[in-house]
Amino acid sequence: MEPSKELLRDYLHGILLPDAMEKIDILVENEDKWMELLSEVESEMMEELEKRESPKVPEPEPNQGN
Amino acid sequence: MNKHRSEDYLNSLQTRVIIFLSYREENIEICKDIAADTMETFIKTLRSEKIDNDFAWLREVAKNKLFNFLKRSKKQELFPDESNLYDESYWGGSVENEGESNLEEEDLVNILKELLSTKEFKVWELHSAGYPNQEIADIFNISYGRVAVIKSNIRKKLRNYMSRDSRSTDFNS
Repeated sequence: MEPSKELLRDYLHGILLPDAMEKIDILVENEDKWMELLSEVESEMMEELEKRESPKVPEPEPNQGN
Repeated sequence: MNKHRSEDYLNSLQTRVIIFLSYREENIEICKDIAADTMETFIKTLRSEKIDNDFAWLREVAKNKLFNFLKRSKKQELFPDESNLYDESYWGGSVENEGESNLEEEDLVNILKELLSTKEFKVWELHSAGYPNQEIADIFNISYGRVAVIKSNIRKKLRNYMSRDSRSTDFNS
């Protein structure tokens, strides 16, 4: 089984079949390529979550000289 | 053999728990709180028990904690008794006690504008104007319980803000 972002997203959401969850639990603990991609997916997903929940406060208009 | 769990690893586990919860609860602040609580339980448990599969263990505990939280929210929705919690004296008292500052209402509004999402701020505005939870819920077409959760988030954000290191309240800069 090769790591893919799609699969790791479903894994982090906990929506794979229990067998698959267990397999990936082991892979991400022991295989560098899985760990690396998981860490990348984690960052991406957290960034998406922060954007979803924290709308940017608009910057105040800079003072015009005139 | 004891598995070594570095701080980075624990932080990564916490992130995984937040993401896991976010699929089940839309409010990220609630997810973060439950994830932090779950990690605390995890670390306490490690002192006395061996955990083989960290994330599997965390998933189960986080799911239970979220379930209990939602159950409590539902109970709150059915038996509302927090009307005094959100009155003006509560807000004022909180600000003064925790931050040892004496904020004017205008300052409070500025802080809230800075801290809160648009929806949270609107809920606070309606609350300040004396709207009861049910009416706020009707206006936003959300449940009574959701309004209570939003208000709880507002209070938490304000508390977090006030507990930061003696931060200046110069909001005009």
